[in-house]
Amino acid sequence: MSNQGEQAVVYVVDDDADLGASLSRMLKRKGYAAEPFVNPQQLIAAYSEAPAACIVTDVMMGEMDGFAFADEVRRIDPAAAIIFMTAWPTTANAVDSIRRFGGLDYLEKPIDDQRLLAAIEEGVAWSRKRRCQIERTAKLTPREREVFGLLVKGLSSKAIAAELKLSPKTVEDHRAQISAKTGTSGLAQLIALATE
Amino acid sequence: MMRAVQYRRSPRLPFNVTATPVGRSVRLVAILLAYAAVFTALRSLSNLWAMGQFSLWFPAAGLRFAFLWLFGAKLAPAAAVAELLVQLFTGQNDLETSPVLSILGIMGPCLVYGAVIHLVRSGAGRRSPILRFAPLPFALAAIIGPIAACAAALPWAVPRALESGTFELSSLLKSLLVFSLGDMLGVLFVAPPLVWLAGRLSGKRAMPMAPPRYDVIAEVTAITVASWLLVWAILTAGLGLLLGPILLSTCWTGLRTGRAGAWFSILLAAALVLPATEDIDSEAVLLRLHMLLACIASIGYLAGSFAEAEALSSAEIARRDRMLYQADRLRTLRAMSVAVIHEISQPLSTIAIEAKNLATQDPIAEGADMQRSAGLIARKAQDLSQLVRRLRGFGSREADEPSPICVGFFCNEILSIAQPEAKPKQVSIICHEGPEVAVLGQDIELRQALLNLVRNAIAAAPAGSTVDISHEVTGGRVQIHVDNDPPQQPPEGGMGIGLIVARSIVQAHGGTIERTKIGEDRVRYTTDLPTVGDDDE
Repeated sequence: MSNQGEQAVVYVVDDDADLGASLSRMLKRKGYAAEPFVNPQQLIAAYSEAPAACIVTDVMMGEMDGFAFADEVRRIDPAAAIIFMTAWPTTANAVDSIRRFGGLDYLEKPIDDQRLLAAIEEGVAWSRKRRCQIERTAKLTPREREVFGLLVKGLSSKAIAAELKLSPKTVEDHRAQISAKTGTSGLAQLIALATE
Repeated sequence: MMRAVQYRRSPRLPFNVTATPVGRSVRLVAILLAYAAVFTALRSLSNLWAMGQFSLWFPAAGLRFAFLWLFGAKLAPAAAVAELLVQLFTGQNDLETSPVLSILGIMGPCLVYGAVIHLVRSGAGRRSPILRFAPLPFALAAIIGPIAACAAALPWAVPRALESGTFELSSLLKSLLVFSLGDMLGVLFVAPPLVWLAGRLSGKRAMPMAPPRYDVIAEVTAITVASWLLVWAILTAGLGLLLGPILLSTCWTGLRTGRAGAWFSILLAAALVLPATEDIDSEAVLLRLHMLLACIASIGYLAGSFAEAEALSSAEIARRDRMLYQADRLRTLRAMSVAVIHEISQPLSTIAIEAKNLATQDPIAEGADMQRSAGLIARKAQDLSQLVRRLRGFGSREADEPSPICVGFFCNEILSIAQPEAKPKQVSIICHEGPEVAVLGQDIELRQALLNLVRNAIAAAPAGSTVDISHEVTGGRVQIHVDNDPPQQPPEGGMGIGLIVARSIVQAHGGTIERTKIGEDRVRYTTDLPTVGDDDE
């Protein structure tokens, strides 16, 4: 990761302190800025200071389980990739972890480190793109965001004007603003930005 | 329980009926001929007690019943034809007057018997649960058969009596009564031993009830002798032959010893009463005696069958209890394996990561780091070895051998087993230190019992609350408490079985489980067990 400049932040959450420390030391050696946490609350408290690209969390933990924790993280940072790990994998949990809690992977313990590293790499890349997209669309005004949302659905300026009860001219103005703020030219790039 | 299952099927016969079709029909004819021959012999025997057209004790009916019971009701028409032919060849009936009614009269009972047997056997299981258990359908069919045959005889008896020109209601009723009494006595005396004999010859032991103990035999014998002495005393006092006491003693014998005892009691009654009735001239007296004898036989045999069915049904219940027990034990083992897998995979993950780290590091540049990794690996290996020792100690004990169990250690074990279940529910478990004390018991069973209580507590406890496990000693007994906050909503069931199993295990260990409330709203389940091995002297 060092070739990309600054190190990606990865947090490891496991109530087994030894395992968390081991994992984060391994990740450090692989070039990540890794940090272990014994409980999710600590991490959430410290999170706004240093948001992570990727969070590796145990599913079965004390007061807050991995899934509730993932929901909480999603709320405060939609651009952090989440990877679950568990000592007792079940199909229901595996499906939930991906579909409901937006997990990138669901790993069994003992951990397969190659798979973990691959997942983290994928997660970090995803998080970068997502952050970039959020940054670029963040500058849009609420009205522009509305227009953006309809544009990427494939609606024409005329249709958008009818939908939002604006004049086609105003919609064209919004489009120009969106292109300028997000640095895109043409619908294809806009859609690419929205779906990244 | 296998015995009961075997018993439910009709006993296999001492004849091999799985030969070629020709061989099978030859055999069938031979069996029917044998049936006809024995039927004829028994029929002529019954003439000794003939009253009018029918006989007061008709053993041939017993043969007929046993035959249909053993070979299946579908042979009823063939048996009926055989009976008809017997009557024709022996000249007992020439069919000269009203042949149709005569044929109906001769074949009717056999067909009705077949129908009753078929109905009882095919519908027995569905109507009443107790009828699922072997001897009762037989007893019911044996009692209903003669009554049904008698009722079915009415339609042809009336026109026949009219035809002969001397229709008298009272004599018609009397002959039907004699007919049903004779059949009932014949069936209850003859059919049970025949069916039993066929069962024995086919090599199957159809004995759902354990042989009665000697004290039961002595008790039953004493009661039987006493009742006969009473009958004799009444007789010598000039009050006549009153069989009431015999009715009671036979019923009692049946309930205490099953069908075999009932049958012998009935046999004794018949052996003493039937010869005495040969010389009685008064039809009314004769009828009364035979009716009472038929009642004694029916009730005694029904009582014996009921006792055996009851024994079978309690065996069935015991079997289901064991299955429930097994299912619950599987749940315990599953919970244990979850805990063990959790306990193994955590240190194993650490070991794997650190070992890989060691393998790829430069020993000179990163000596301190390597030392740390090696130390961590050693510590984790230690944890795993401890786990293995614990598991080995658990498995090596004989399953049925009670062993001393340290309560404090035991509670901590339960905690680690229950932990994986508590975590997702966000319930924390705390195991409090207590006095050092041991109980004697079967480890896995007690574990199952206490785990069930803890599991119930976890299921009931609202998220964010704690379940406390603690123990104390009072007067040679230890009380293990499992406390939890009451559920916010009533639980969705499933609490019951775990508690029932826990209770039965603890009771088997000489203990009790009680539910109390502590403070305003905490629920406590206390397991009270006797302690062992007091070394503090």
